[in-house]
Amino acid sequence: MSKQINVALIGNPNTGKTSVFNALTGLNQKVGNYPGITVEKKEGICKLPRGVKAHIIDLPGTYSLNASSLDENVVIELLLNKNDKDFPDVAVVISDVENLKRNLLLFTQIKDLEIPTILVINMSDRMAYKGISLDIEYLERKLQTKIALISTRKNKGIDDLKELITNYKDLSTTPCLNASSIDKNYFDNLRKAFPNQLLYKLWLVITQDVNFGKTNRKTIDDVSSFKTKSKTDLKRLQQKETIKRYQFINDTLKKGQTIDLASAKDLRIKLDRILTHKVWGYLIFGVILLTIFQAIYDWSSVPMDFIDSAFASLSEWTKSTLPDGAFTDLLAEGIIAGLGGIVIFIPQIAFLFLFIAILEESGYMSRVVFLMDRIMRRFGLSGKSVVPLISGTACAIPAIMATRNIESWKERLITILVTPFTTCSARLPVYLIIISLVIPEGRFLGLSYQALTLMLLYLIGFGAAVGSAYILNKVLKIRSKTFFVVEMPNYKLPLFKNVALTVIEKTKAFVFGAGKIILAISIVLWFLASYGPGEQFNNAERIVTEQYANVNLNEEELSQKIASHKLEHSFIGVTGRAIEPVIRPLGYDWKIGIAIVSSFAAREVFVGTLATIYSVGSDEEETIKNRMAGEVNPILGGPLFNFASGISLLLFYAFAMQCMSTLAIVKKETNSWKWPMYQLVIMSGFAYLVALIAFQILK
Amino acid sequence: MNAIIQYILAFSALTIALVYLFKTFVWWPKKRTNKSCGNDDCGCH
Repeated sequence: MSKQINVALIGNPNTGKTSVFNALTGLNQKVGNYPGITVEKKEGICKLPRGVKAHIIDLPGTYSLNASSLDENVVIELLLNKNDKDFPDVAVVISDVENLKRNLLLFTQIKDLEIPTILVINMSDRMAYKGISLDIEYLERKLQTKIALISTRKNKGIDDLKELITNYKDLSTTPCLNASSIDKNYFDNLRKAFPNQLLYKLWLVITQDVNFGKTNRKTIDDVSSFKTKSKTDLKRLQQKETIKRYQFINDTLKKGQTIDLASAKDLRIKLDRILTHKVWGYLIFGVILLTIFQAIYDWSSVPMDFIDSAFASLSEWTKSTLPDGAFTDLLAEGIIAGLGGIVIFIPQIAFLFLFIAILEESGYMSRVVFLMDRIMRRFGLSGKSVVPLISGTACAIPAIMATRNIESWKERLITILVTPFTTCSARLPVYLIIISLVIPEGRFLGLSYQALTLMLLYLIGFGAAVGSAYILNKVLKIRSKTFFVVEMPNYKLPLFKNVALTVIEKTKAFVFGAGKIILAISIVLWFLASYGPGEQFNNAERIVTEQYANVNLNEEELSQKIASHKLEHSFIGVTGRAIEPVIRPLGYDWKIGIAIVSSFAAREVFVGTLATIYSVGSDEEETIKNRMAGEVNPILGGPLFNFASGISLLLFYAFAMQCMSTLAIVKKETNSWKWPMYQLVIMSGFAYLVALIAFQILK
Repeated sequence: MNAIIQYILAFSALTIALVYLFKTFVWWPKKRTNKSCGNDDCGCH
């Protein structure tokens, strides 16, 4: 029987920890370049030599065991809890060859917990480039560990690391620092009070604000023979500990590491000077954004048109091939039409994620974080808030979870509350279909009006987030300290594999995550649109035929009138008309009203809903866009989706809180229903008001 | 006969869809409490 061991991957952010995890487990993981991307524990299995299996845990990035954010707490809680099923048999500390000194601080702390620890020095391929040479044997001796010199980019050293993990029992657990040397008297008393405990572990329990179950500072305080120091004294001792550790590290690296600055060729400083410049930096970022939105439009139009017509043909083929009946109609008018409404957006969403992945992989995203910190600070946010705000372009849910690395509770809460304003991928289908209907196809300075409108909507979302953060910063009376530290990783050529995996995973998550909900809602909507109560629905044919007896209509026109009458008196029609008075001032009819209500489950359901509603009773092979373009405003006449109603709808979706899952995650992260309810009422109320004003001005 | 089968299939799809939506949006599974710490002080002692 093969033996399984627990292996924890620990390290500073941006040391390539997730890449090592990928190399060991082969699992597809997100590899980002800005700090704090790993907010959840990730696990995988790795087959080691001699039939040993390793259960690998990729822990959140942390700079030390002095936790200042929630995701750093996860690391400490695991390392101090021997009873946790994931407690590591061996800890693998990943370090970056260019930042070895800083990385070793965490290594020495983990080693002092007497857990067998391996030091991995990653990015070894950059050593020659940076003029760095290492005396591995000396470092191993001094640090009393085994070192794996690896390069995940060049796939070097992974087998050596596997071998070291297999032989983890040979590793020394001797601490790097004698805890008593921090304060002899204090630690002697601590040892006397808890004679059987590991001194450094006790010290962490005393100094860290994390959940240790029954073992907390109070328990230690209650032991009569021991008294904890004041907070200030503890801080002073922590500082002393850090200084002592750095003395040890400096001493170790003095002989173990040589840096020949003369042979280092560094382009990074020159690039940083331009990309983070207070004028050029923002200009370049603006140009990059413009290019991205233009490319999204230009490159995806051909595949989108193909998908749209393919679904229309499939629906038509289903109707003509399968036997007549309720299920065939459900397939053709409900399921295929509804799914078509989501699949059509795959090209644009894939291109968006492609660009975001390239920016992250290349190291540029961290420069954006740094650049934006200057602006964010004025609005009560920090540079770290940019990470959730940018992640929010994919989905608000992981973005809100990514706020866990913001140390200040006030900044974190504000970021959680404003992140749903960021234009997420679920808004994209709504924007794209409305823009294609109401914005002309002309160009300005080579950029299409449609691409500029899309970019403007992204900026409106970002502006709304920042503006509301400013108000919340003034309104919320929460006192908190704030600081900002960001790691600037080296510029790298994006790895094709990582970029491709990100695009595939994100697109898959969008299609399958939203797809299931859209499929279910499409089925329910089809029933509600195909059946109805009372005389008007059941006798629609007779009523319409009698009504148009004196009008010369051909067969096709008459059947369209009947379908339209049935839809209006179906269950969905009755409900839609009941809410119509509320949405009519915004320029919408009852069908749009139904789409808005159903898209409360998820915004992208809006397009699927309209596709289903407009398909019911229709025998035509029509694309979604053409069906929507053909809709007539029942009161004002003319196209229903005109400039005024289109802009009104775009603004409504830019501001409204149309996502149940986001509300649930906000509740989870704030531990209260108060904040998500505020978000729902304020965002939706504001969206209604803006949409109303826009329509009334533009109509 | 064909019409009956079609109705059965269509209404089965509706039932599955309703159950899925109910499970997703109404019946959220109870939040799991963090029980990583046992009765022996999380192994800290």
